[in-house]
Amino acid sequence: MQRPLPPANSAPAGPPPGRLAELAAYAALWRYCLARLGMLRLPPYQRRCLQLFLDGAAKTTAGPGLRAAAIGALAFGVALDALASHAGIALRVLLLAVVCELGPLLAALIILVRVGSPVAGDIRLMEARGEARALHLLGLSSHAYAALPALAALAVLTLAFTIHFELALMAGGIAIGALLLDQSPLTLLGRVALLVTPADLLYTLCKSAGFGLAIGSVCVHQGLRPGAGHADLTDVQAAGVMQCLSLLLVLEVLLAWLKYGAPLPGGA
Amino acid sequence: MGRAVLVDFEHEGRLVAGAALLQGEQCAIAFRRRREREAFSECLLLGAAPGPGEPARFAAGAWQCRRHLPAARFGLVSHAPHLFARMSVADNLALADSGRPGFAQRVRRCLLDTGLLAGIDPRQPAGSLPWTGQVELNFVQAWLREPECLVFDHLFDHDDSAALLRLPALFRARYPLRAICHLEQAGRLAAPLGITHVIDIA
Repeated sequence: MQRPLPPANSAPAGPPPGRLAELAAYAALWRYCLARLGMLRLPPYQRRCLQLFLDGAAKTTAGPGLRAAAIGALAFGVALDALASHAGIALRVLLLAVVCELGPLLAALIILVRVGSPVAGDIRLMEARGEARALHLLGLSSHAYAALPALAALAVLTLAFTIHFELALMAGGIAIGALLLDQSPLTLLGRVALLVTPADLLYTLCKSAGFGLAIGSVCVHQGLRPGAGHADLTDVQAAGVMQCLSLLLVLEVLLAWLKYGAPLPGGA
Repeated sequence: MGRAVLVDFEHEGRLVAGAALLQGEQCAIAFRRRREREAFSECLLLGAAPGPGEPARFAAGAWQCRRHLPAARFGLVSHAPHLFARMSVADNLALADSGRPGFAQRVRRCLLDTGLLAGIDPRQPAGSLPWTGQVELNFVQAWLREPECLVFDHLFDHDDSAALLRLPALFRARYPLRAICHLEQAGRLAAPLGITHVIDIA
């Protein structure tokens, strides 16, 4: 039996909902997805998730991902060169800025623009293209089919792309730095590796997964909002991008504050 | 033993003798207006599930219909195929996979038995198929879900439908105890479909 996603789809068309209603819609989306998480085991949902992941990977890793990583690597290499003679603390700050802060944020922004926004548009057009009806006729829930695989694929894709992006950036940066410093890349890699802790890596991965879930939630929510299909498609995509940007920046600041700024519980 | 009633019809609050869609039957339902036919197919195929011991009720013009099975037990082959046009033929077929083991073998067997979609590249986008190919794809999807009743909605009015006249017989041969129902507008029913009776709610 099809059960529509309550607030995001049953809300009457009208003036834009307030912030609280928007938050309630996100909470409903999350409840809906969590309650149906098991559906991801069914082949059509799994297939859709895999398709979104592979399409997204093809879109991001080849072109914009490599270009951004190359520019990042150049900046990283030059900064390595500039800071190499300084104390280890300066190098660690550079690594933290690149590995833990800038890398995940840049990767998330690329995913948002190249994958998230088109996914929101694609979900938006499912009704107009008759795909929602086709799914219902096949006994599949169109909301679950639109939401669950997109959310899962965007979260995993953001995580995977962040790893790919940071590896490319670091490898390029170390190669450029080694050239500028006239050192062996392995020596430089060893020096860099000593300054990155497992906690930094864990923080980066968790943050990246969180960014992915945030992008997925916003894009799915915008795609599923009641509206006029083709007519407001660009508005929906722009609203999704803006909302995601705000959310990513808030998350970035919040997580950075928790990692570097918040006092430890019970600490001095 | 009597055949199970899948859908029956009431007129002015009373069940009408002979106006019922029974298990294993090939019937046609004739409508007065296109709007009524569309509303009927919408409620039959996408409407709410019947309650415990209670059929799902909906209206078609002046008639009241009572569906005794969940909507999901009906399959549809429509004049306007319902497909993901940008997805490949194989991906569209995979949408019918309910997770039961042996789906790939069932697809192969179905295509072998029916000879449908022959010569079509499974990687081809479904939207690039000719109309008959799209209908065949929809038919195979419905077949794979093994519906209790296969509904042909207004299919044989199309100019190219001659090549599809064998579809009901193919389904009948594989599932002799399942029902087939044609939704048509009064006076437009194609002849060689093996229809045993017409429920005229026009």
